[in-house]
Formats: sequence, structure tokens, C-alpha cells
Amino acid sequence: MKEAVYLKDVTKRFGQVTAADHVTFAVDDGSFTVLLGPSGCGKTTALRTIAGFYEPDEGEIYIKGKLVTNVPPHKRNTGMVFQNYALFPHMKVFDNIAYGLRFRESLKTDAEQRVRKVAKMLGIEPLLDRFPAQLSGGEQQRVAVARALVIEPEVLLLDEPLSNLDAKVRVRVRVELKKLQRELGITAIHVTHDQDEALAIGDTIVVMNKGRVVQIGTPTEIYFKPKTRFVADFIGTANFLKATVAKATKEEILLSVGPGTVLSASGSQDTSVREGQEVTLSVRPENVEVSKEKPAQGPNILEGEIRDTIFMGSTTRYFLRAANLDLIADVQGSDVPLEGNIYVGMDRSKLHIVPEPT
Amino acid sequence: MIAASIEGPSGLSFAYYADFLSRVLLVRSFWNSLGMAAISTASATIVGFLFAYATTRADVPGKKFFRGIVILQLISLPFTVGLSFVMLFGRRGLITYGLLGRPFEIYGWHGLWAVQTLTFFPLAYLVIVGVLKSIDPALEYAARNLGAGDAHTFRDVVLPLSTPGVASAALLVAMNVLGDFGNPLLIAGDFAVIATEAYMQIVGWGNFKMAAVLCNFLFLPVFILFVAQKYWVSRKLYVTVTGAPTQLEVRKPHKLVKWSLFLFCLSTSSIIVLIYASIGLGAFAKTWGVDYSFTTEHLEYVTFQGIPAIKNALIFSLTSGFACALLGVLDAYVIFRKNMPGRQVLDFVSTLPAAVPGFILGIGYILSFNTPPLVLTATAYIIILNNIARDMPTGFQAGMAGIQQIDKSIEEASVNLGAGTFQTLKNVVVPLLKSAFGAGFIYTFIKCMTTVSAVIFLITPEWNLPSPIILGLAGHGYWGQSAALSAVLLTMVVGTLFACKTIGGRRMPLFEM
Repeated sequence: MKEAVYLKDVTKRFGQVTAADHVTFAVDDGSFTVLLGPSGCGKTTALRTIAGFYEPDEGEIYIKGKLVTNVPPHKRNTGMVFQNYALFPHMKVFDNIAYGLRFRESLKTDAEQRVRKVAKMLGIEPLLDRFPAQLSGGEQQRVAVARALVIEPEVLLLDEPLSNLDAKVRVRVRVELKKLQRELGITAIHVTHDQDEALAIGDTIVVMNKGRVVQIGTPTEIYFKPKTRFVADFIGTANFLKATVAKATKEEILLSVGPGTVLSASGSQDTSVREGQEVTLSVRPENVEVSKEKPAQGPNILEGEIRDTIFMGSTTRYFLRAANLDLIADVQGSDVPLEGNIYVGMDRSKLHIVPEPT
Repeated sequence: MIAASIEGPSGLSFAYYADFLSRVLLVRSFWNSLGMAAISTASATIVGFLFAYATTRADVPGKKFFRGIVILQLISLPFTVGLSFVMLFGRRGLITYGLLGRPFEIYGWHGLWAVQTLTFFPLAYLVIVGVLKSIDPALEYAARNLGAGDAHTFRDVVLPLSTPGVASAALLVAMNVLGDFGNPLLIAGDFAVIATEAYMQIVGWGNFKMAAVLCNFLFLPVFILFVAQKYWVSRKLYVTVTGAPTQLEVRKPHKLVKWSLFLFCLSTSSIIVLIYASIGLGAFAKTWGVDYSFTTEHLEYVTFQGIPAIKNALIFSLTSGFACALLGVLDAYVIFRKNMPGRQVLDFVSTLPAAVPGFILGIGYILSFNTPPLVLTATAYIIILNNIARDMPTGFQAGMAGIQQIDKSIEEASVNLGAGTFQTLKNVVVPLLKSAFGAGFIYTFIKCMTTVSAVIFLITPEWNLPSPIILGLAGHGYWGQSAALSAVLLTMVVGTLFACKTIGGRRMPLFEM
């Protein structure tokens, strides 16, 4: 696959604040890439430098292999969907969508058909005669997407376009957005701070924090193999255990997590660890098994008790104390909640080592 | 006043209207007023727009200075520009006669046009700044993202979105030009406008009836403009459609645009600086136009003759300011928060006086309070009442601005915690509205200190005021005394504003400073 967008060492400062600090990442052609991070992490700055709204202080930006660092925004052919949609309030939906066609000689002819085609695709054809103020939030969002798509952009830039929708609509629209992107085969870069959204729609996730890229990977890599504690913490809920490497072989890594308590993790971790090294052990709550009877066999079995319980619908969350460790466990579909003393088990392959001390 | 205009010697009569229509000069003054309003409105609105665009969007250097110039014009005596224009460009003007040494006729429609433009562009500026600030920068970025360059972005997005605001500003300027009185008196020369003709009818002929007729002819277009501004244009203002505004910075225009705007603002501001410099200079020059040697005799005149008038002005302005601010805040609270029947009417009545030209209100007051049951003519009360009636909208606007900033849930929180209506008002609303009250007070105070047209028919030798005195002195060619008294009054007003700004600080944004 070719790179549709490539940021090379892009740095952008606003006064004293470095909003983007040597940001480097590549976006594959036709992929859906998500920039994910907490507010102020630099994800929106990165997106806006791609659109050309900000000129980077350092670094280079390539779109379809062409250096565009100094190309003004209106010559870049990126289609942007803004967080608040930025629909022109004085133009009807039709004119909003058609606006970008005015500046493109090749698309000017049969502009009306182009507008109708994209409107039909997004199911907003009946709205073409209305003004933006007469539309619901979801409808406005579709118009904004239509306006960005009709110009046949080289890359579709989405700046938290779902954050103004209510929870149910948001989940529905993100599925539609992903489907649309895949059908059109268009490259999309999507900015969000919502980790569920990122995991649901991203082919690739670029996690950012404090202006830097901290990890790039597929959703499963980001979720199950976070490279830093920040990533593990930001995405989903995780148990963090302070651990010292007791023994490291190719097959198995033994970790001391407290006096007399040793856990075993599989040896095929990306990171190479040394014996005696202080690390953080990360375990997702759904990978902590809880049972009333002692499991017949297997490693990492601890005795403990349930301290607190939260019913969360499809799962039940238990707050446990086992071998001097505080753990969170999510258990699927238990209609009768467990109580009192229990046993905890953790699969070796689900213990992920983050090479940072706690 | 309408009643007075149709009251003949024997009952109802339209004789005065017939008389009006038969006098060519008076009819011409009506058309002159309208024509002057049209051209001055166009020019003042354009200047106001350029200033607003330069200071909010173009990031020109010296923004604070330009804003200061605009505010100075807003709080200044309404006829400052006219006065100094005569001093600078008149027959014996410092520039035309003194420096260039050639005769130049400033009196007439062209002089008045220039003066009205410089006097009223700050009004347009204030309205347009508000509108430009409310345009979400994301819209401009969206246009550029879709392929529009600078010129297209301006033409397709910024201009149409600011059009309703610009129209609103233009209507406001038109109302003020139509109602302006001091500047035409000083500089219009033979170019008769309704305001000055009405003044002549009263001062020259004692013909109050004809003055009332003239006022009614003027009031009609002003009223139409007022209704248009309030109910038509303000409805068309686009509000941001959705949720959170973007934190995008306004995109800076091309360097050439920026520096052209800067030059324009700088040259306009230079003229205004020149205006105030001439007032200051005039206060110390022996005989303006003839002998520019230094003297303090004009200031001495002010000290002896002007002080009683200034004292009166202070008394009137303090009482009116207090009353307007209090009434304005209460009025705004009732209209905005309580779903009271008739609030639309109250809203209309609360803002209408802003549209009535000052001298019409003044003449109306004489006609109303000249005869029993309430005879107030020649008392201080009539002046204070007049001030309050005229500046109620100022207090009301300040109150409205304050109320809108208080989230309704704050009051609800208070009620929820067990406070009654009165306690909520006392413990929550009143403290939060203090700054609105303060702003209303200061705006009204400043307006009352400098007002001229509304009070010129109401003053007496006992209850005289500085601004009509200044106008009178200028009318008789006493430029020195006139400039000196202006300078003193301006210093007081500017000083008050600065003092309040320092005390009130950030909590009380005056003139969006």
C-alpha cells in the first residue's frame, strides 16, 4: 500500500506551548486512521497542519507523495469535517455542498448531479432546499460529510465530527462512516478522544500524548499490547501491578508482584526484559477470571475476596483483594453476583509487560 | 406632541401642516435631512466596518489605540467634530486660513457630511465589531478547505454573514444623523435640516407649534428606521448553528490588505487626534484665527462662569445615571426572567426613547409640562426627567447584557437550596448584577454630561448646563471659551471613564475594552 499522507517530524509551537512535538506518522492509502489522545495532546493540531490551517514550525507534510508543507489550504484538496460542522448558515444545504465545486474546473460541469449523487448516498436528498438551522445535529453532520466528499478529496479529515451527537446516534453514525469510507475507498484521518470510537472504526490508531506520538498500531495491538502505561491507562480499564522480573526465558517470564507472590507471563513479549528489572504488569479486567471453586490447574491462581460489586448490564465488575493486590475483574453475564471468598486466575498470555516502573 | 401640532386656535386644525407644506425652505429642510442621513450613513458605516474589520480580523498594529479613538468619539460631546472643523477648516481656520492661506468654504452639506461621518462611525463600529466577533472562524476555514481563496472567503462567507449586522449599524447611524442637532447648527451653513429649523422656529420665532410639526415630520422616518432595526434586521442575524465554537484563531488576511487597513485607520485616527488637539490648543490660544499666543484667560472664564453649569451637570448626571441604571436593571430582569404578560410592549417602550432624537424629546417635554396639571418648565426636575426618559434604554441595555450572562440555573440552584424569591434576588441576582448596574450608571452619566440636543430647550439661566453653553459660545464665535469649556468637560468625562475602568477592572467591561 502507498502512503496517502505522511507527516515527517512535524513540530508546531503556539508561543511557549509545543502543541505538536516531532510528530511522525504515515497513513496508508485507503485506510481509516484515527488520531487518539486526551484533549491538548496535539491530535487536532496535527490534523490542521495536514489541512494547511497551521504552518508547521519544523518538519514536512506529504499528501500522495507530494510535498505540501507550504501549499495554502485552498490548494490542498483535503476535505474536512469540522467538529461543529461549520456549515455556512446563510446558504441552503445544496449550496453548502456545491460550494467547493465552484473552485474545481474539472468538477464544475454537472455540479448539480454530483451534489445530488452524494446527497443520495448520505440520505439527505430531501434536505437540499433547507437551511442548516432547520436541520438536526445528525443531519447537519451528514451535510458536512457530503460537502467534504463531493470535492473528491485526496484525504478526508474528520475533526471529532461525532462529539456533538448524542450517545446512541454517535454509535450508529460511526458504523455508517466506516462503511462509507470503505465503499468509497477513500483515505480518512479521524481525530477523537473517545477510545471506544477509535477501537471501533480505526484500521490504524495513532495514540498521542503531550504533543508526541506514543504508539501506532492496530486496535488490537493498542488494546492488548500497550507500549506505555499511558496507552494502557487511556484505552479501556486496566489493572496495573508493580512487578520485578524474577526470571526471563523465551518461554516464560516470572514476575514477583509481592512477597511470596509470583506471576507467570508468556515469554513472547515484544519487549526484551532483564532479570531484576522493575516493570509494570498490565491486565485487562476481562482477563481476570473469578470463580468460587479453585480451578483444577493453571498458573497465576490466587486466593482472594470480593470487596465491591458493580452491575454493568452485560458484565459485572468486581473489585477484589487477592494476595495483597487490588484487582478489577469484569465477568460476563453472571445473573447471581459472587460474594465473599473467591479464586482469581489470569491467563499467561494476557499478562502484558510494560517496560516502565510503576 | 402630535396633539400640540394639530391643535389650532379653535379646536382641531391641520393649519400648521398646511403652513409647513407651503414654506419651500422648510420642505427643503426635510429632504435635506433625509439626503444627509443617506450619504452620512453610507460613509459612516463603511468607515465603521473598516475599523471593525481591521481591529478584529486583520490584526493591525495599534489596535488598542484605534479602539481608544473610537471610544473617545463615543463619549465625547456630540458636536466636538463640528466645533473643531470650524476651528481647523473654517474661514479663519488654522489649516485652511493659517497654514494653507487660501479661502475654503467648510460650511454646507459637504462639511456636514464629513463631520457626521467622523461623529457617527463609532456607533457603526460597535455594532459591527459584535457581529464580526460572532462569526465562527471555522466557517472561513471551511471555505478555504473547500478551495476558496482570500477574496472568495471574504465575499462568500464574511460579507454575507455580517450583512444583517451592517444593516443594523446603518439604521442606527441614520437615526442619529437625522436627530443630530449640534453639528448642523455649527457647520451646515445655508444647508437647512429639520433639526436646526425646528430650533430656529423656537428660538427665533417662538413658534412651538411649527417646531412640533417639524418634529413630527422627522419622527416618522426615525420611527420607521427604529422598527426596521429592531424587528426586521435583528431577526436576520445568523447565530452559530451548533454547539461548541471552534478554538481556531481568526485567519489573518493578506499583508497588503492588512497594511491598507492600517493606513486607513491611522489616517482617520490622525484626523480625530487633530480634532482634539485643536480643542486643547483653542483653549489656550488668545484669539483663534487671529492671535495664537498663549493665554489662560479662557480657562479662567471657565472657572468663573462654567463651574455652576458643570456643578448642575454633575448633579443631573449623577441622579439620572443612578435612576437609569436602577430602572434599567429592574426592567431587564422583569423582561428577561419573568414571563409576564405584556413584556413585548415593555421591551418596545424601554428601547424606543433611544430612537427619539433628543431635541424632539426636549420640545415634547416643553409642550407637555408647560401647562397644568404638571408644570415643570424651568425647573431642574424637567431636565432630570428628560435625561431619565432619554437614557433609560442605555440602562436597560446594560441590564440586559448583565442578565443574559447569569445562567438561569444559578437562580434555580438558590431556590433549590431553599431560598425564596426575595432571598434569591438579594443573595444571588443583585450581587451578580452589580457590574451591570455600574456599567449602566457610567454610560448614562457620560451621556448626560455631554448631552445637548435634549436639554437645550429646557435650560434656564438658573439651571444652565455646560454643553449648551459651549454650543452658544461657538455660535457667537467665542472659540477660545468654547474650546476651554469643552476641554474641561471632556477631561472630566474621560477621567470618569478611566477611574471606573480602574476600579471596576475586568468585572465591568466598558465599551468592550
